[in-house]
Amino acid sequence: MPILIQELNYTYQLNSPFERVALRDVNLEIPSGALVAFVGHTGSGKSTLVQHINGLLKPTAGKVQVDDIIIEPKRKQDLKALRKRVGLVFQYPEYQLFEETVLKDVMFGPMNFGHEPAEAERLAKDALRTVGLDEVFWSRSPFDLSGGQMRRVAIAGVLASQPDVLIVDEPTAGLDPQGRKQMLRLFAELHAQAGMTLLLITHDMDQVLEYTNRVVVMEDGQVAYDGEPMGLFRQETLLRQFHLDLPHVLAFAWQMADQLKLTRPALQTEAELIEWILHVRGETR
Amino acid sequence: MIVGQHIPGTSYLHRSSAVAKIIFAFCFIPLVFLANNTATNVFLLVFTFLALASSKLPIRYVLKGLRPILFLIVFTFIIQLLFTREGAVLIELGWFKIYEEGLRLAIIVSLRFFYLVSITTLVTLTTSPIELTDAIELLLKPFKIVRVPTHEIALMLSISLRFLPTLAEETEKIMKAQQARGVDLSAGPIKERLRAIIPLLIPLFISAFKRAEDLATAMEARGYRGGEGRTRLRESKWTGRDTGLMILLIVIGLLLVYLRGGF
Repeated sequence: MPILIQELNYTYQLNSPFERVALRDVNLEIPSGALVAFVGHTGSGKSTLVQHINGLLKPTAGKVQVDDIIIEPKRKQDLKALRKRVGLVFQYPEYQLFEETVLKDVMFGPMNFGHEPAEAERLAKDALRTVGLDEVFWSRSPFDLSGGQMRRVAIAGVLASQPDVLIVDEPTAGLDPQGRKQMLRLFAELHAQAGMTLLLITHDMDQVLEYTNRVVVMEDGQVAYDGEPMGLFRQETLLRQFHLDLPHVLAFAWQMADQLKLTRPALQTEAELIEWILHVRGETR
Repeated sequence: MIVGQHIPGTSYLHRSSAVAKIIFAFCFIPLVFLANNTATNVFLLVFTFLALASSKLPIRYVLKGLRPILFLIVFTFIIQLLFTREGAVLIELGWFKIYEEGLRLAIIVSLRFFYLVSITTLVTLTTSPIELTDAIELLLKPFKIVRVPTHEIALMLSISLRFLPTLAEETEKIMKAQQARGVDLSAGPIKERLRAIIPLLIPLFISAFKRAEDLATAMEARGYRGGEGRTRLRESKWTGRDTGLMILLIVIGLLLVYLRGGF
């Protein structure tokens, strides 16, 4: 499902002394099946932006179009149909759990979107398997699980509705390095296998480098950069201006390259970094 | 609803002490009941608008905030209008009669509501919640003799005020998360809508209890042990401004008595 955002503006608490402009003239075009990372420091408008894509916020001005559903300031729309197709996993999604058992909680979404109980249960079980939560937990209370498991349940709760577009807002916040890797791999797989359009909000530049080939930088409610991650990381002035770090892989490789007076390589993963180091060592010997 | 909100500023009212403002609001309440004729009401109306203007707050925003009270005002207006049967008949439609005295009382009572709500809203709008609770603790001090736990009451107040916005934020977040999972909070029959509240309330309660526990632990870890011998960062001082407010109060009282022609 292609997403088209045109001249999108959003102001919080319009017409009050607490008025705050969150988005200014945002234009974006995201083709079906894309994987796009959204970065930018806190308050730059990334969360506000993605909430428009499933109709949780209505534009103050401008237009958001998801497939054939158009959201405009004064237009009435069937948001339920939109939300069924666009799944949104909020930051710390474990706070949305409420049911007696894990399975029931995951079934909540599909039931709301009009699936029969039996069908909802099947979808829920599929989703729980996808996020890799062992079957022994399915009949337990979600509040008896560990933090990482709760997050998996919450994510399964969104996946169970089988959305075409998945938006994840910092899915790895508060997880240990192992959990982070597993989580990201899960989303990468969903994107690769199910052809899901994936919008990933993150602070982790290593994730941007490794998993995406398009990054949108938000700054003060505007799109400040939209393009290839490598193009962003190569411009040190831009990085400093947006308060973004270099991914660890690049930081290491480029410092090494500079000292050995080699050209800075374009790398994406740790495996590529190791290969490059071995290659350099072979050459310099 | 904007009662309880605080908009920072530098006006006379903003810089007066919270204690003086609370005393002013409390004494203003009985004073309002002195207004019983055109002259006194015009005077209070002018005073209320002057007070609103002096706070330098956006006046349209303040008036918009009074809207929830509008229902109450209209309701009392109609009750007074219908159930007072004194004076000359103004309008007669069959059994339905409106009396002169009824109209007069209806207007006066609605106006009283307006003065009271405006002035108390003004107090909370110009005073930060911390100042407000500190002032309440100070004003409750005399009750300590009869073992009223004034410090604890003030602490409870300030904690609730502090966490109101946090809870509101949390509610919004959970609401959005469940809406994203297909919950429809604005449509459908009442039974459905009530059911839709459960997925909202349970996570909210759980996180509120968690927060309370964390807060208690954090307070203990920093050595909190009640109000005994505790000093404060902001000592509120009584200034000329506050004396000014008290003098204003007396002047209003005297003028009201004069305008209504004695007690």
